Amino acid sequence: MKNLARNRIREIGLPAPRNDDWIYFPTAKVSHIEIPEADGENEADELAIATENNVAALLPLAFAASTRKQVIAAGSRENGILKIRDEFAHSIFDIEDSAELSLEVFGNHQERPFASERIDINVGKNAKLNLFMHENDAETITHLRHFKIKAEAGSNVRVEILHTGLGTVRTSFDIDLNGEEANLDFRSLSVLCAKASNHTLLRLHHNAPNTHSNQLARNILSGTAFASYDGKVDVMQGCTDVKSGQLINTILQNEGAKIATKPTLRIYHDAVECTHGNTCGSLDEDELFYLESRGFSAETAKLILSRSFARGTFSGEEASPFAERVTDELVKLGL
Amino acid sequence: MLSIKNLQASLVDGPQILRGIDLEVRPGEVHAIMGPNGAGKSTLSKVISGHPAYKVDAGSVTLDGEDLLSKDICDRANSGLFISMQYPIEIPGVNNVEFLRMALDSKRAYQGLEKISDEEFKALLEKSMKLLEMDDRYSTRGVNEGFSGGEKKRNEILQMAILDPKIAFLDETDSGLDIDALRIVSHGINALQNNNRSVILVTHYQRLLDYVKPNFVHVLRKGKIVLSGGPELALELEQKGYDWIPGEE
Repeated sequence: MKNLARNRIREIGLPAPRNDDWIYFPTAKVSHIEIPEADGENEADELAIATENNVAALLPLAFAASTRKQVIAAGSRENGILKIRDEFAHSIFDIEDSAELSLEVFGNHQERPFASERIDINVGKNAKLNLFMHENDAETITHLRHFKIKAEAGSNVRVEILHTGLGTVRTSFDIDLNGEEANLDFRSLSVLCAKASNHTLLRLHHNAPNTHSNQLARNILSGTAFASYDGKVDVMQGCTDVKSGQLINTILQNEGAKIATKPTLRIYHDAVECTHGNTCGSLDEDELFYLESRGFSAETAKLILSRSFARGTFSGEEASPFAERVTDELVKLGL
Repeated sequence: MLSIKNLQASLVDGPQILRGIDLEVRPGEVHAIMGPNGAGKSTLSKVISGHPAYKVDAGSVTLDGEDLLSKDICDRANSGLFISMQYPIEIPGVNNVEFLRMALDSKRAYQGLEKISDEEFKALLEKSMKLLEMDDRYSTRGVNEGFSGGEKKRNEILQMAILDPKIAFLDETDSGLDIDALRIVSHGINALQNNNRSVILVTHYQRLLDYVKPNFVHVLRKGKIVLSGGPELALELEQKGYDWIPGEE
């Protein structure tokens, strides 16, 4: 696997600004990585390395000392945390049919200047994945994180991501909805300040009929923070009754902050319902007025609206198992 | 109580909308303001409460002798002015009850009072919700989140009940209300009315005034009050419309 990954990186090259998937990321931050020559026979290509085009998905395979693998037995229900300490790390979770995993991914607390992780999660038939990650990297850190999720028929995947770090971070998702009635509910909130540079790339493939996905990405940006959201949705041939929605909302708290968004829909079948939307601006003047007319100071009114915006990212009909964790983190941020 | 003298106001970078409003509202009085669309009725409430989209060109507004126009929006509210919006906003993620309590505590802080106790607030909330025949949905949801137009208006009157203002300016509170909701909201307004509180109702229709009896009815046209009278004026307007009233061109 290591040799396959190294060879593949040599084939496609390290990220460069001309690469569409990396146009928002400061690629100079990863240009120093030296890829050694492959040093032996290639192993079985279980992770589709030979066709992988995302360097962030390959680096951990090329360098990680070992792969940590965990199986959630069919029908069981587990809560877990994933603590990553190495510079390069690779983890695999197999959630067997009808099992449920609630997984919180912890940040890398070793404060390495560069870290790259890959997490593969296979969600079996009628299984459920609840994934939460609070990314809170320090300013000096460059961090690439890649999730590859495969969801089989009848499975439910809920992803909740909170970015509050100050570093240069790219979080990529490669998600396959492979079986009928597989569902994805993806929510991401970035509360960024100072010189934070935070980039989300999502590649979502509806490979089966009647699969549903919903992406909601919100950003509250101040200072000279820069965030990007590059979300591409593929609906493959024969995938009738697919429903897919993508909404990106951004509040820019000052003129120095910046957001870039890139929604892409590639639809190869009729009779599907796909939407995308994007809003960007400051807090609504009428909403601020409403709150101030109820006796709140201008500052408090702004805080209440920001809180509403932030908490609204994670609210929904079905309560998340991480609802309390998310609220705790938002409260720490004053939201 | 509320004294408005020669109030002239414009949209910021826009035309003048209020062109000299004079209105005196004494404690315990109910005034109705009627007028055709675009007459300036909603603008009047926004200017009095300090909406940043408007600027005051001339005139004064005082509440119990205190200059309102020099105060921030929140201080106007905390001084006792309550504006019920024509289109109340939704604030998802902020619990309605939490919001009411924060607003009340904000007013109490302005008045130099301590925060309201749990027991006192619970009693006040229960009493107010009962008055307005409101169920638990109003206390478990975000502010106006998922409420129908009528429910939002009812929630506005709940805020009025909790905040206990000196004067309430209710902008088209009857719009979007079905017959039962109109009765309930009107009952709430009447129950909250007393000798120390005044109400200004902005409405297009007599039907609200069948429930909430005004002492005075004013016709606002092209930014000025062009006619004032008693409750009978509203009935006349319902029958004849506005064309017969002379106004400035």
